Amino acid sequence: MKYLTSGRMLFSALFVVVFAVLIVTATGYNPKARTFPLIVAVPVFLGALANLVVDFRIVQRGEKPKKEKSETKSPITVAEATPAEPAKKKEKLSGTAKRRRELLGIAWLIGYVLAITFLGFPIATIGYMVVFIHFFNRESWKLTIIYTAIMWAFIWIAFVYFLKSNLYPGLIFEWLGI
Amino acid sequence: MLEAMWSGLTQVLSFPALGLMLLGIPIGLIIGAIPGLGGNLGLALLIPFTYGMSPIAGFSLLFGMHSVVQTGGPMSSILFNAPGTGPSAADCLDGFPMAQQGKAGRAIGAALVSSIAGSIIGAIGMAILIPFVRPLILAFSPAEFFMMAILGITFIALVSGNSLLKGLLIGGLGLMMAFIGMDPITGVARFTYGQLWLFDGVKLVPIVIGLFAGSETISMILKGGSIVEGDVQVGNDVFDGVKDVFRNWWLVLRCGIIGYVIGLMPGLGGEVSAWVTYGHAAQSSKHPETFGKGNVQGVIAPAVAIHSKEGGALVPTLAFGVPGSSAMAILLGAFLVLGLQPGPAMLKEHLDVVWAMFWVVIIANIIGAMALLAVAKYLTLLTVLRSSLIVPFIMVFVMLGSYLTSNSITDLAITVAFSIIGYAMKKFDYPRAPLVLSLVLGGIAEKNLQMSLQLWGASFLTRPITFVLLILTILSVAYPVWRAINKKNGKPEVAA
Repeated sequence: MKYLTSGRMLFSALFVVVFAVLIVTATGYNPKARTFPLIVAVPVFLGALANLVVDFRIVQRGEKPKKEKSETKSPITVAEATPAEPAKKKEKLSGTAKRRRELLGIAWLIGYVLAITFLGFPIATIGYMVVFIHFFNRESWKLTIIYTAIMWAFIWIAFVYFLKSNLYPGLIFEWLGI
Repeated sequence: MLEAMWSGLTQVLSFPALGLMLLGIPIGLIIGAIPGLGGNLGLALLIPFTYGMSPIAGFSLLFGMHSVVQTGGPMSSILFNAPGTGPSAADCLDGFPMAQQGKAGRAIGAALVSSIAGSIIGAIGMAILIPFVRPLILAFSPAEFFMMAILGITFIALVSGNSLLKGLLIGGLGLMMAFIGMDPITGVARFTYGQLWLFDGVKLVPIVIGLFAGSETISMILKGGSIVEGDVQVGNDVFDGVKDVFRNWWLVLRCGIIGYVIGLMPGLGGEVSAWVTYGHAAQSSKHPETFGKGNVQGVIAPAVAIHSKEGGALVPTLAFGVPGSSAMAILLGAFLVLGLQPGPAMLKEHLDVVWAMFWVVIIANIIGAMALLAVAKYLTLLTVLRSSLIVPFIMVFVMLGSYLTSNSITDLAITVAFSIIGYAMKKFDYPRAPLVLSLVLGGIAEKNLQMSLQLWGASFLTRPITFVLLILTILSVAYPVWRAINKKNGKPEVAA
């Protein structure tokens, strides 16, 4: 059971399900419209099943997938200049901590998009940057404010002033009629 | 001819054309570097300003901007894995791994000089071919487009990295995504599940941005640190990248010609030229296994092709008034604004304007690339910024780029979904390139196959150019297999 619920297995199984759904959907179309989708989907569905078996074996054996080295061994040196503070060393994370961080990374993306949807680009961007830089990463207020102000000014000048882009105003403001 | 050529050059280098070109260049570089904007937006914005200008002055502004959009595009691909333009997504594959290894300067140097080389090849091709273009353009039909797309799709095997099975799976997914929307022949809405926003098919930019840049932000939040991994110096190797282009001159020439030919075919976009040449570079390399891990040839090939393709796209636009790309379709509007009618008459009556375009494409690219080369060393410093500062920067541009593609909040949701999918693909060793490759080429292949079958039946395969492309496709599949067998048997490889 443990093997079956691993992320790798679930992701492989997702492909099987997706292609099964696509095949079932395609069979409902007229012959001309379904020919090419079925020509592609049927063999790929079989491939997805084979991939599921391969991944099951990998998970069962407890093999580590081949990965590029990503651990930072020592602080980074820069040819011409250095950033405001030296880069933090990357800490080695346990399995649970890693999963938590992954979910956090995904949550940041979803949270930012939800903020844009409700509050619009300008306010969501300011809020997101302040929360991410100061509260999540514990950078100083001074750096947070300067960085946020520069980013916001760039967005406003480039997109609103020059390009006349229609940045999304946010549902709340639409509801309020502002 | 020489007189018109000289006249075009002197007019481009005189006031106000030169000033307008110099104004267009930074606009193009910035638009190209910001994910999601693209040159079409720049053209649409600048065309109104050309009212009342002379044709050469107007085209100096428009081509000055448009020529360098793709020069700025690879910057964000290399530095942040966030493609500035659709075609420059191919530069993510090796450019970003180079940045992670501290070689962002080398990748940028290579991409910029490749841009110059590509634009020169494209412009020369345009100049050579314009007088004889009619039979060549007419030789391309849906049958040739189909075989060209199939040839590109066969490169999935080459961009699949360690797992061919996973690569084919992802390639299949990309093809199925290309089928989403209205079937071009029957008009049936396929795989839309009642969602109106899927009727036009899926948009490439929000998917590519999510797949590469969005997934990278999740990785960076997870790992912390900076983009550069390890103890390395950055910014000192820009000139190495410049030298790489000269070392790989044969690849540059081949990819330049391939990009140019693809540009000649109306309807095949810059993405096709970038991905086909990337596949070609991997296929012809002695070390295809290093592609996707930071091989500079993987940066050079698409950068050359994207630029030479523009020269090719200009040919049908100028000679027939048939736009070779979406940008050229917008430019057709500019022709009318400036009082010109593209077509055979233009080649006779306004040959100096045609030559002026030739010079603007070359000069703007040289100036644009040189300007970026001058600051490349400082741009690479962004790769050593810690994640607390670089992640919000990338995230904001990811979302802006995705949204501005069509001013739709739905695109943001697509980007988030593909960020998560891209992260999972990266984590579980699924290559991401086949998805983009097949998504770009799948729709083209299906539409043109249907048309070919209706026009000629199965005998379309016997058309001369189609047949040559078919042979190339068979060789493209057979060569890696032959090489793998040789490798397994321990025989020395013959240089490709």
